Amino acid sequence: MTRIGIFDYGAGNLHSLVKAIEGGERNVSVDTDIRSSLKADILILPGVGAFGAAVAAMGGAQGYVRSALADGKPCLGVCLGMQMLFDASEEASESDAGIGLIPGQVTRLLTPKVPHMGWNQIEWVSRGKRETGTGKREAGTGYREPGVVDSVVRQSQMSVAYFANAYVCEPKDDSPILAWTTHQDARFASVVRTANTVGVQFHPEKSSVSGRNFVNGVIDELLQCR
Amino acid sequence: MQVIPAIDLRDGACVQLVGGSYANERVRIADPVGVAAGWADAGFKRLHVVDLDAAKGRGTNRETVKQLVAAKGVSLQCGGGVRDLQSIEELFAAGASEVVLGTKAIEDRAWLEQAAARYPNRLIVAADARGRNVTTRGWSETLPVNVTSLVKELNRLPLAAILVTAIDLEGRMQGADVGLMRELALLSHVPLQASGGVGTLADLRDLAGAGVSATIIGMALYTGALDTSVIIEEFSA
Repeated sequence: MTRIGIFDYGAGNLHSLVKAIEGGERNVSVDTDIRSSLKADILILPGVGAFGAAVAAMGGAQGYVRSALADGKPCLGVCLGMQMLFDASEEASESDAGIGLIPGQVTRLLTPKVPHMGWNQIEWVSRGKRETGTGKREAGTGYREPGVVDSVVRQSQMSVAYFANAYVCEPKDDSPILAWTTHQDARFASVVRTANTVGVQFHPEKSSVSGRNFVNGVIDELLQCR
Repeated sequence: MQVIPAIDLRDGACVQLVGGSYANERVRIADPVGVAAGWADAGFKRLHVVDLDAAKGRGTNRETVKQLVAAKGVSLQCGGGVRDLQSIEELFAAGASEVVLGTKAIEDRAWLEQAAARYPNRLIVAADARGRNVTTRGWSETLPVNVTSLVKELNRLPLAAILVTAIDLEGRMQGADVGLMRELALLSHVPLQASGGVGTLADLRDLAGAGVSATIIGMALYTGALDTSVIIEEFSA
């Protein structure tokens, strides 16, 4: 039985995400203590609510979580859960530090239409050439092996997804970015990966059959990378 | 959760009906294009446009729809009486961001599959529910089909969203069917849009908490029961 730990930071409805990933040989538990969630085989950071409250609910465990993820603990962050992987967000005060696994900031979208609500394209980074994989670990950015197609890209059949976000992630450099999305005049990272942690800005649980297949494929893939 | 103003068209006017009854019209504004511009100015980014005459098979407001689509700065999801691929194409060509399908999609699943394959993630299926039963033909026919079964069946199609209207509650501003919407939001593999019964901010909060992705509001906006600036402050527009 695979244990999936969803960190419930108290912002609201997690049922859709739970339903999208439960079943078969999976035991999904929802916990308000992130240290408990980290004991599962894979940690899920869900995507509802605001950055400040979400990171505050970690109770200062950001460094502990960062170390676990940098060491290869599988993790999937969805929407706000992806943003929590970064250093800080304009949505919150400077004292509300993110997990800091991926160097960079979360900034407010500066487009005429904010929030970005609806279906949009996923532009995968040079399909077939992306190099992060399950190989050796390099300092800083996690597991890399030049020439190996990233396993997340390889298993994805996804070209569009449902988004609901007013903030976007800006990694310090492009190395963690697996996919981009363009909304009006803004282009932002919609899928990132560092070590065995994947962040997606969209909502796979609301992205039809392909979104559900994607999220389950990513979970299986990350579990195999352990 | 996104909040979307409704523009229901009848005889070229913007109207609001009570309880899905064409005989019970409570709001009528002669200039729908002006109404749409007003909601856009208030800060709403998406409008839900329904041609009530076309839904009933009594004429069409297609020209008015085209004028609405030309309004700048808002996305429009348009429906009402869309029963063939040509109508879908025309609405997209006119600038609709999504097209809403009702009766035809419910009655002819093979046609819906064909349409969804041609316009993936751009079609919204509207399931109008009386109690838990699906209705068609401008709310005049109630089918022996449970709306939960319908949502489950629709999950395998690449739709943009599923819109569920609680018809009996429509236009009454006495609260939404939060229980039904919670159940359907959980079942649906695409965003669930809810409609019917919203009268207060608390109703909107309840729907957001139930996992609903977007709520369409009509009467509460047109009668001023809900303040647009307060909605836009708290929810996504």
